[in-house]
Amino acid sequence: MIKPAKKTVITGIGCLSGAGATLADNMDALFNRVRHLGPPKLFTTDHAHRFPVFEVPGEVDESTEGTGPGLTRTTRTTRLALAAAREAVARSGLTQRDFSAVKTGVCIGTSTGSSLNSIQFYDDYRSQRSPGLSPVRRYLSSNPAACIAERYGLTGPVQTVVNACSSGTDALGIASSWIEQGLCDIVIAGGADELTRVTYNGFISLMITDHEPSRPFDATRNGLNLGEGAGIMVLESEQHARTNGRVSLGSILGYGMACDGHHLVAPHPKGLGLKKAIDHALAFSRVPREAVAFVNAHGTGTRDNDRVESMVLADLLPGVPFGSTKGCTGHTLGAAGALEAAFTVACLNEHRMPPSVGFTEKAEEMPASPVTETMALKGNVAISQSLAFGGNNSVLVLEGKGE
Amino acid sequence: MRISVQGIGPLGCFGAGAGDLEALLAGDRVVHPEIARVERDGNIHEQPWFKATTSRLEEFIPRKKLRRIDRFSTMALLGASLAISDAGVSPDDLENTGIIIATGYGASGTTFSFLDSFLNKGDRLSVPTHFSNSVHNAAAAHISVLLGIKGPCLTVSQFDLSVPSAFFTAVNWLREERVATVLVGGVDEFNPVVGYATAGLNAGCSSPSAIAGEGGCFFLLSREDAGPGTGYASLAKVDMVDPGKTPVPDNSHPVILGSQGYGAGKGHGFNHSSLSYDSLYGHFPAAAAIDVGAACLSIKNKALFMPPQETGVDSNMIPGVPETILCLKPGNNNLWGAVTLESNTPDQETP
Repeated sequence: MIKPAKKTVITGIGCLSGAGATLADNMDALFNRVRHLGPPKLFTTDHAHRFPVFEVPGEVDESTEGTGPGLTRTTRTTRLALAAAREAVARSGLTQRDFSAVKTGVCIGTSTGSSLNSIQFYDDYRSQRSPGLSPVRRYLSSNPAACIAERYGLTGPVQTVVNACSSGTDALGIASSWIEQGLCDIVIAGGADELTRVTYNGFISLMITDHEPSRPFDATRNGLNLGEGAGIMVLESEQHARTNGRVSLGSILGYGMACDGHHLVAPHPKGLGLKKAIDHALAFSRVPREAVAFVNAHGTGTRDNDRVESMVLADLLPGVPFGSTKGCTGHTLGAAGALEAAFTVACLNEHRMPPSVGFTEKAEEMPASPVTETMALKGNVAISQSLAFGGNNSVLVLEGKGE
Repeated sequence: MRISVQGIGPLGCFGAGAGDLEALLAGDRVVHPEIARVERDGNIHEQPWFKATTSRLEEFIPRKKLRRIDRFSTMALLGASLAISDAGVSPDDLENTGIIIATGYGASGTTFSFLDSFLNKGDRLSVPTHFSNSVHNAAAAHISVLLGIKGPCLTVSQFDLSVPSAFFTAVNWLREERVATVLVGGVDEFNPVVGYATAGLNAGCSSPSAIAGEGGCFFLLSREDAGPGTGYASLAKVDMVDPGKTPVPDNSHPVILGSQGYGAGKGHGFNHSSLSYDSLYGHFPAAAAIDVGAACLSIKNKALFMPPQETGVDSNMIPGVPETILCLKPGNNNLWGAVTLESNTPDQETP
């Protein structure tokens, strides 16, 4: 691998999840163990158990100045992305004129946000009721990355990543490489996903959803809780940010990604892909393992995922504290990696990490356990990692802003 | 750094493999569309579409391993296998290889099968295998598992710009030396629901050649460490531009335009002479990958393929031997994807 020509710094962060409407709200929830979960209100189901979820309450307001054409009828996923982007852009201090003056790209991860799965449209179609095409038009005009590009008048590369649950991590990693290679000066990047009846039924059908609050890494863990949200970052080359007087909130130092090549929905039992992804991310970062202050694990609360992650972390990063934030946000699928990268940077900047909510009892089969109380951090570099359907393993090495 | 297209794996109504695509482009093969019967507003409409053939997949992967693989992933597996085979390498030699798949709609047929499962029998009886295979990156996962490729694995989806977007990241992965080779391709499937939607959206457009289709094309890309002259062509540049704000990349070269059959780009603000092959293999987002495959064949053969006159395109242009071909794809939000290929033979290599 070649040494990056440029360093990627983070100048804006926006977050929206069931834990809160801003990054600050989310961090408060994580450190105070707040869990806003309950039965789904966005849709109805006929499941006997109403599996709890973490919904973003109410309608998502994405309205802001500069609304572009076609954005008034977008999917909830795109509205979540736009709302988080608004916070991130505001935090960066960048304006549309700044974006237009240089090559600005956008890279967004999603899962449901790119699926043509309107239940009403399809039900009408199969019932030969000749449905109108409004849902299709909304779908076609709601590509998350394209909508952000349109909203901010961006002229650089546009990419929507659909790598299931690692999409948000991958989007940030890819965006960072665009800056490192000099393809962009600025990139708006992250992930977004809405909660739908389709994913709700899908995860329940796979029998990996808990009908109680999830307990990542716990001996009694019994599955995940779904959530929704968006995490968006404004990334810039360090030189560009510094020249224009913007404050760095942190950096993406490296990104690693490897596929298990093992199974469609189960991780490799020895975590071979995850190990490779961690090694690659650290190698790209030129960061030694001992410099890692903590790991924001994927930590879904499913039997297989948590066992593999625990094993890999104990092997590669023994003694390094880790935890999962999904006990407070649920699993937000394509948004998860971006939300968690944002949390990781915020933790580095607060010099502390939150307790892994839901964990109380160590599991015999797991060699390492997450932190149970707020912990002060030693160091300014951390890892955020995502595992996904398809055997994807994606890892970001992140740096705080330092003193 | 120059990037070489070492092998191509096209598939569609014309068959599977470089030879079948070349036969179609050269006019040696004529394909007639299937007819889908689409009910709309109480009337039955006949909608032509080009159906891909996938039977060659069993040359590469035993049938027993394909039992749970849906049509979308079947096409992706075939395209990937063809590209690897065409490059003359074995999957065992692809240890440091990434996979990138572009798709406009993903596994739409399986997505609708999943909806059927709970609409028919209730939420509690949703079928898990339909759900797991409906995820957009399922095809990439099947390629990884069945061909044993364990590098980075990515799927992108942004309708007509999916293919240029995938190439953009493929080039970047090679430039930053994340991998030594990338298996990149585009794939889309046709199903009646998509047909119903696209027919409705295109209603009223004067687009006689905008026939729906399915299939795609895969490519094995590598840095030209192996020396010039290998493979089909060099992947010179990939870009996404807004022609209203940024000049379209140098179009002094022959242009292959994925244009939905609407007069080869007229109406998109593009007024240059161009070729369009939509009428041969159908219009769908991943057809942009077949366009790139056609460009590779043209450069390798040092001859342009003239599209049939009935496409309505200006075909009395582009003389000479193509050393550089630009593949343009108009997308949503005023963006265009631009993939530029050039000859990589030694006597034409630029210093």
